Amino acid sequence: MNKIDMSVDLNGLKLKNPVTVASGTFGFGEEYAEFIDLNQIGAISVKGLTLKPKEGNPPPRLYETPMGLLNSIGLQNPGVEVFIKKYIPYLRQFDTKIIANINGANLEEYMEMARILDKEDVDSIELNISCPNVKDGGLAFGTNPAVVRNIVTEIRNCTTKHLIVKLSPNVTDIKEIALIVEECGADAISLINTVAGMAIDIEKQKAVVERKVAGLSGPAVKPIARESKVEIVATGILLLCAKALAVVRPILIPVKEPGPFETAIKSISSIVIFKLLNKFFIIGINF
Amino acid sequence: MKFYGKVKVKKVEFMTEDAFKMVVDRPNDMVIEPGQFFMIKNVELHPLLNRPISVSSYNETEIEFGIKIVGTGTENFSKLRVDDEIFLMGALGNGFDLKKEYKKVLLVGGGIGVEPLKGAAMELNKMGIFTKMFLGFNNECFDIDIFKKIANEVITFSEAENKADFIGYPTDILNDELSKSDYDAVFTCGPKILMKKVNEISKANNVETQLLLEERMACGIGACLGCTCETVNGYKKVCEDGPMFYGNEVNLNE
Repeated sequence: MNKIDMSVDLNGLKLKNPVTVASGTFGFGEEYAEFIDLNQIGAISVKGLTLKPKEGNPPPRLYETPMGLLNSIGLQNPGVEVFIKKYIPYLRQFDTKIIANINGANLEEYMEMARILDKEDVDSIELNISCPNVKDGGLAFGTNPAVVRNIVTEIRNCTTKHLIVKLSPNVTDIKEIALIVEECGADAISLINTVAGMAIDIEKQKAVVERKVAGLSGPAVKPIARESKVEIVATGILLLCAKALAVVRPILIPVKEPGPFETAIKSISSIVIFKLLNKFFIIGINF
Repeated sequence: MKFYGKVKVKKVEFMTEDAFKMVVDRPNDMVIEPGQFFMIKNVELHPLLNRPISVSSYNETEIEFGIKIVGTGTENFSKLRVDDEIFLMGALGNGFDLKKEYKKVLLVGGGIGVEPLKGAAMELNKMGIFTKMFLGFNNECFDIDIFKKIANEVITFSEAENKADFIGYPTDILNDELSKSDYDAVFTCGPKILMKKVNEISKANNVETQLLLEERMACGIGACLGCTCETVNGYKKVCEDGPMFYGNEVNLNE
């Protein structure tokens, strides 16, 4: 049987297939290596990184909703240095692209992360200005057009790497933000980060997670992601044929070349999943 | 690679009003240790996530789970019929540490938490280690005949009258038991409040405690960082670092 060419060019980042795993859903890849062949994935967006190791939010951190999941992980990660020393060499053993998802509590931290990773062997930097689970940075940065303009411009000046900006659905008009991001030199947009939400424990009469607000992902938010401006960029939340679990996986389409969203979705669900990921089962948490 | 796929259900049998036994086919070459767990999901889409379920006992061809109905996911499992399929992923996590030097182990279980102790007692038994079980129930006891076959001694407790050897909780006589006999370790599984008390009493008697923690999970393999617990060394992942933790390393406060 002839191999089908599933490669995509995300405005300079070439993936052998459009199946990527969203940051936060897949750790650093090694967690899933016992279950699937990482060579089958187009790109891995690693767990959100910060300058220093981050412990994350106190438990409990998860709450299941009807066909969705609220999470309040809070960017727990070992820090960018551990990523560089341990996980870049690990992931380079596989034929997949590495996307480094970066987070900062302030502009300077974001810039420092970009400067550090600019010199490292990663294929793309994903600027996360949309995490709802941290006090500083995150969502607070990604919902203000002026702040977005500033941060993307500054980050673009810090690195020549392929640059993706991950946006929040928690805005009035995501198009406005997306166009600013494009104008400031980003190569692609990743849509969407989790939707801010809250669940209440009626017996305890308080929110189920300590920060009260958590991030909602899963099939429940798929229509929101789909509505998020198809003509600019597309991100898919695919529920796998394996039906075991839900998957949140962004299909990153170049900003400058509007992406054929429905085609991408169709091709993935009909070909890629059956072809290579019959056993795929990533949990749909998308930070 | 670890197992992930569909297996057939061989038996679903209720033990009490809200607790049941589920037996499934054991895939070839699957390694299982007592105290480990599986992520289990019904084949329908809803509910979204796998449920982490501790393995109860197992033989070469079958795996048995003891499950309490606590929500939609576990209720769905209880409705499965023979030859239905489920998704199984595992075995996962670190189970009980069965140390060769152990001579005598006390296993203290409460409620559905008695189930994961079955596999532990069976393995300890095979190793020639003396086992005694304290099993606590809130009403009817279950599977006592089975426990009596796999452990050297079994004492049952129930909150209800005329249901067990003692009215009350395993912790009522735990201190006496530990102070009058030389135990090398206490294995415990059950409600947090029980494990906390067991841990305190064991500690006071200088006996090592191994306990099984439970937490809501999404991935079950250490990727999503959702099932955090507090330990003396900071946050740990229940799924990957546990579910077995030593009593002196975890914070069991609510």
